[in-house]
Amino acid sequence: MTLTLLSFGPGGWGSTLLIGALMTIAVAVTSFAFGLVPGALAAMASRSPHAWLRALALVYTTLVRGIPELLVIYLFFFGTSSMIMAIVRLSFGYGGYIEVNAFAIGVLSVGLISGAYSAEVIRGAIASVPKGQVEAAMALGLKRWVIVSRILFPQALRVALPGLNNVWQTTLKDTSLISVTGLAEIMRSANMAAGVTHEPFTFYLVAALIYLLFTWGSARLFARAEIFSGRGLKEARP
Amino acid sequence: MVMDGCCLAADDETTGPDPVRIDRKATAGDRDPGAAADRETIIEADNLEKWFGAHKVLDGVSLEANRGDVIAIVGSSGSGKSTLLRCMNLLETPDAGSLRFRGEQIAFDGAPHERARRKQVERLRSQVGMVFQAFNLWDHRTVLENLMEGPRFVLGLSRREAADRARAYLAKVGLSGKENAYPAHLSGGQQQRVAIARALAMAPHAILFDEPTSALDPELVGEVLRVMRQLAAEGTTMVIVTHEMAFARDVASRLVFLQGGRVAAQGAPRDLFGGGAPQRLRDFLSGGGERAP
Repeated sequence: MTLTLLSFGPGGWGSTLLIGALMTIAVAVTSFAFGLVPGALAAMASRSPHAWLRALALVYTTLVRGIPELLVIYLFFFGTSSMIMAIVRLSFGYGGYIEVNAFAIGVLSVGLISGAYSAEVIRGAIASVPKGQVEAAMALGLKRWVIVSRILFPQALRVALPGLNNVWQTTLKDTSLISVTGLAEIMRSANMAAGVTHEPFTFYLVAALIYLLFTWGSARLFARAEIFSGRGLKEARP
Repeated sequence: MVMDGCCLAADDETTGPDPVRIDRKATAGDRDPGAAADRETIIEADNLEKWFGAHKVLDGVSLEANRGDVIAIVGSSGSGKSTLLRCMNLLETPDAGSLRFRGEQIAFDGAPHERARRKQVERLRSQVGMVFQAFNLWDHRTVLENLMEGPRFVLGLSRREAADRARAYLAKVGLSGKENAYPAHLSGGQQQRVAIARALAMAPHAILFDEPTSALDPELVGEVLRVMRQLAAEGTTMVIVTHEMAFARDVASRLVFLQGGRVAAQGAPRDLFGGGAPQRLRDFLSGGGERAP
């Protein structure tokens, strides 16, 4: 019975769950990567000599981290669609309901949440890079963006990776909240299957196992990345 | 005083494997001081002042480095030596005074042309090398990559040209074969020689040394000083903050003694190490545990 439900054949929900799993990966990876941009910018801004930049970074991280994730998603989902509808009404005179792309909203909202947490991790990591490493680069006349991209960030990365792994896992799980927008990721797929078959436990258990598989697999990838970013740090002399 | 121990290894310079050829005949003591007038002025600091909070670290210091000069800046901790050096490539921005590099006035305050000021500072830094007390090699990059970074991203050399240049300077400091080592795999002396090669790879007009041997174990000091002697012999313009009195005496063409953020004495080492030195300098020298010549 259970196996038939999970099969890929007729009456089985296997392909729905598989597509949901792929959607989850797509949303999570895009959101996390997208979130690193405001995250890194906020981290740099929080160290800026300009007070308004520091304030901007503080507002972003405080605001986003202080509101429940689900609420952030709702605000973005309904906020963006009303905004677009208003713009369309004003410019084209069309007053009907326009639904925004659930994937885009998902990536935008989860990405900004992810970025707010990444910002804290990256800020701490940047602070851990010894001042002399940057001074040596400045003393050669390297431009600021070269110093940031080739010296500061690679060195901060090795400190940031364990923390970023944490943010990534949270981001991956936060994608389940996008199910409220109707995007068919794992959570939404399991939900549908559970409703139709009246076998909620089976499908939610399968969903849980899929999330576990993803978090476990990605943790291994992060472990490898940590080894790579720590190259050159071996204490022993050859 | 503060410099105990750091000077002990000065006499070890001649022991151990010799990575570079030394031409002692050409060292600074034999330079003709009268020739200074015909030589190009590289760095001209005039009346520099620098405050750290309520503390005045530099109180009107002037210093001129002409091509080929080897200037040793000495003085006790807190006398402003390192700050003076760091003002010369604007790692610290002086609060008053003026700085000229090869005749060009260097701006301290960018407003309203911050972009232009930054460009000028970057150009100044690309032509004035710096060697730090703590080496400051980038530990996520190999030795060769450390040397290639400046030539590639400041001078615009291709990866291949930069690598060729890096190898040449690595050979010059006696470290051929360490191209692919990471800094953490090298001894302190080797790391500092790589740092010197990194500065040299930019073909700078002058190199600033900020206590280059103070972080080294005594037995490693000699190999670094040997490389610096070689550079001096080749006519490299150098400004060196150091506690190595024997080195300063032998290699420097001019000795600048800083005290309380002012130049308390300056002149040729043989004059200052001789009887003609002011009392304060003699006190400093005798307190430093270095035998007078």
